[in-house]
Amino acid sequence: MGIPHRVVYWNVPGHAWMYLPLAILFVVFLYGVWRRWRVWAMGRRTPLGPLGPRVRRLLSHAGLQSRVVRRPLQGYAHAALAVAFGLLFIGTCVVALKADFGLPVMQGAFYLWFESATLDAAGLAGIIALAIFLVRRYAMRPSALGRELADFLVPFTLLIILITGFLLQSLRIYATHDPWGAYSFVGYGLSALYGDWHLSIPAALVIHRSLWWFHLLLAFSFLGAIPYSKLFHLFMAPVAILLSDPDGATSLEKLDLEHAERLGANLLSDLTVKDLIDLDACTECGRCEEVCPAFASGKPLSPKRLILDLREHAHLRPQEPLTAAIKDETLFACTTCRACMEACPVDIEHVPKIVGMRRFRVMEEGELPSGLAEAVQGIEERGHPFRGAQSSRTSWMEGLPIREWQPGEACETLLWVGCAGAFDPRAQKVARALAQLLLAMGEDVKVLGRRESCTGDPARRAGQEYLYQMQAEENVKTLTEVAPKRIVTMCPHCLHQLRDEYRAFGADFLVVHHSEYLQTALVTGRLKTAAGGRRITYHDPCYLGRYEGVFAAPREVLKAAGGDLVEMAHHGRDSFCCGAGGGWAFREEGAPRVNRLRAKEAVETGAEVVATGCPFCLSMLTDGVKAEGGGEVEDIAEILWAQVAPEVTAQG
Amino acid sequence: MRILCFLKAILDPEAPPGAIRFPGTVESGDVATVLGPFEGNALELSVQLAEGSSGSFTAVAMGDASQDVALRKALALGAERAVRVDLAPGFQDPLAVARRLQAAAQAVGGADVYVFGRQAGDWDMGVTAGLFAGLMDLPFVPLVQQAELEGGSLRLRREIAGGYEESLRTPPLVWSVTNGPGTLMRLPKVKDVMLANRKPIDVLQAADVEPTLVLAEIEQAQVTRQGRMITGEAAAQAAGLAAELRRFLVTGGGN
Repeated sequence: MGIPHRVVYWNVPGHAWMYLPLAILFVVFLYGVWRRWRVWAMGRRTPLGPLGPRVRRLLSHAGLQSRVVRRPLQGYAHAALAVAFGLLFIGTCVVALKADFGLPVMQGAFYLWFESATLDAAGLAGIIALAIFLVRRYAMRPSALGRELADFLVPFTLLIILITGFLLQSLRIYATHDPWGAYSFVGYGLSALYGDWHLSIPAALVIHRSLWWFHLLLAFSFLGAIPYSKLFHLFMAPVAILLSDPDGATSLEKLDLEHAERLGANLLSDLTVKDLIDLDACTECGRCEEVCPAFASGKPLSPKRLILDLREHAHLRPQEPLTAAIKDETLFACTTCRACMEACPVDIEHVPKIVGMRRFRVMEEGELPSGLAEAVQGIEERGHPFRGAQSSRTSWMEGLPIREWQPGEACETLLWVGCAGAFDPRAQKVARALAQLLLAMGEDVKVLGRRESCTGDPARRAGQEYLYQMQAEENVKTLTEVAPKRIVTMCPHCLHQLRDEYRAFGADFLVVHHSEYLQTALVTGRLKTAAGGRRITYHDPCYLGRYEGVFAAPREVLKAAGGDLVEMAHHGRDSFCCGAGGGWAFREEGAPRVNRLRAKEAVETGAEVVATGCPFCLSMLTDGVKAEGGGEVEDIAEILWAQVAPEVTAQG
Repeated sequence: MRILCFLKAILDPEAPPGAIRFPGTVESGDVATVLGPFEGNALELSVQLAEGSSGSFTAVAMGDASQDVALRKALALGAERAVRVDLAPGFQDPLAVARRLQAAAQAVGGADVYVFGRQAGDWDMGVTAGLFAGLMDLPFVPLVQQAELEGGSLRLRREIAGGYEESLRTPPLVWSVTNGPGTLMRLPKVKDVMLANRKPIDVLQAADVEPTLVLAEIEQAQVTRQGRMITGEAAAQAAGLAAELRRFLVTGGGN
């Protein structure tokens, strides 16, 4: 029998002709890449930070497909297909090394265990994965998956390539009585059937030869189609992941208002190279659409559609303004909750693109949806977005022994109340509960009072970067003068600004969310609680969870307050927006409202209390839970204070 | 067409109760100075008219530097010139205001159209525009909601009971603007805001005018609420309500 091997190009006289279609394939492929390159080259420089975290993200998200497998069925099927085709690619390279360079690589144990057994296993895994894809798309029919011709052709063609590969293998084994055929177990199994069917050897040879060319041309066509289809994500997804912000692009880019040629994005050249590569990295998996609160509540925004519309625009009308592709009602439907970006397996950054386009509409064209326009005007004129507020910045703390900071004083703990805590009657109660907790801890608490002004977050998310920057500069100046040892805030939007986005304005303060501060106080014994025992479900605010990564602290506080915690269907990183973000807190929203969808989930847990850690979530959920017939909605500070107060009284 | 738009910035009407003490001083907290609401409407119609006539407009305000908020807004929305008639803040007699604005209008060279808000949002007197028209000896159209150029004339639209009234007027004339569809002040573009912040504001000395009206005393109205629940069957409630209303009309609400 000699050394185990097989003859490459067996039964294919004239196989050298295959280099002709191969050459055509190269030209077609390169032209396709060039077409895309042309678009990327229009983008402006992507601001890049250190490489280390990016490479780690690449290894995790592309190498290990850690995000893809979050949906186990299709996720592991995709990972299996990727590994299978990786192995088959290596196997094909080995064939080329032997056939084109004469290297003796395709023989012996390597031939038997890798080229035969492993590659058969890979091919089989690929077929199973593709079958799962087709069943999912066409039998289970999830709405987020497209069912256009291309959506069918991609998996179907791959399936045919793999099946014809096995058929070729089996015919060769049958016709040559390959003594090592059993290692190619799939082909071997098939070859056994031909004997039963009395297939003549000459017929097998003819079928094999024809099928060989068919398989080859189909595979070449498939490769040639890659740069013209969503298959291009094979190449662009890793690039998009590598170029993505390791912090998840939670902080928006600071716009150079003085020197920017255009404020915001309205041409492809206003987007970054990363933005444009994102368009080609999209796999159209639809996960962003599945988690989008705007889409779920019937608004004219699907993050997937947005990317695909921009892609189409980039290739068909590259010189035209983006407003031709993306309408205002789509742009302003986004709550900036980042659920899409968290779900995207290839790290497409949707929110920065949306805010970039909003910036253009708002700052260059003076367009802003009503409600939001008034809120932004409120920030400009009176430093807060709450129109018709009947309070001053310090009304909420009447009767509490808390002082406004005075110039020249030292400041131990600064309570950054936020506009909601100061002006929204419901949130004022949260501010009082939190202040009383801090006082019970023996803290020297001060507030800024009239020196506090909106962080500018609603303006920035709405696209009014100019107003935002004025607010940020003023606040950083004030806080630098106060120089507090720490800042505690009950508003996740303020937290995100003070802790992260203000860094671009020279801020470097120790800022904590009240949940984090209270948790520490409970752990160190500075706060003692009475027994509780209510069934509580906790809603993760987007700006506390997905933006700031705080998931455990509020839950620990609730447990310490005697809460019996139950989780909603969407929680943690997968939390579902309350509907207030992106300026929606100040707008009129038509039915079905996002807060109702979220409240329904909360009520379904059977919890007596819905807890949260954001005044805007509190307001949205209070409305929603009431409408859904649920119980109380409270902030963690209120729940904890109810348990701490009796202890404080008991100690006198 | 030369347009002169008169503006006034006022203490924030949305300031919490008690934050402003009459007559117009800040009592507590941080009260902003903002463009009066009807002046916003006047500004919007001035912008529309300037656009429609491919011209521009001049904005005029009277007071101290706190009035610049209003003038900067006008500059951001395309005013070619902003003029502040310098005057210490405080209550001003409307006739004196009209006389000083008349002097200012003449100082900047006059105009074809003089646009006012229907009333300043602080004192809400609503007479300055009419007085100004009288002093200038010009026709006055109050409470305009829409203005369009038609040849050399202006088609002005006002809301009347059950519909609209349109009239074709030939400049020069004075009109005041009230809120209505299409009068909501547009958002300025940020580039224009940035440019506006660098533009100069011309300051004129206020004309020396003797006031005809002096504020002697002012008292804040006391708000009292008297509620009474009428209970019982529907018929009894109706009878009770009728009796209450009768008593109210007879006694004027006293008990």
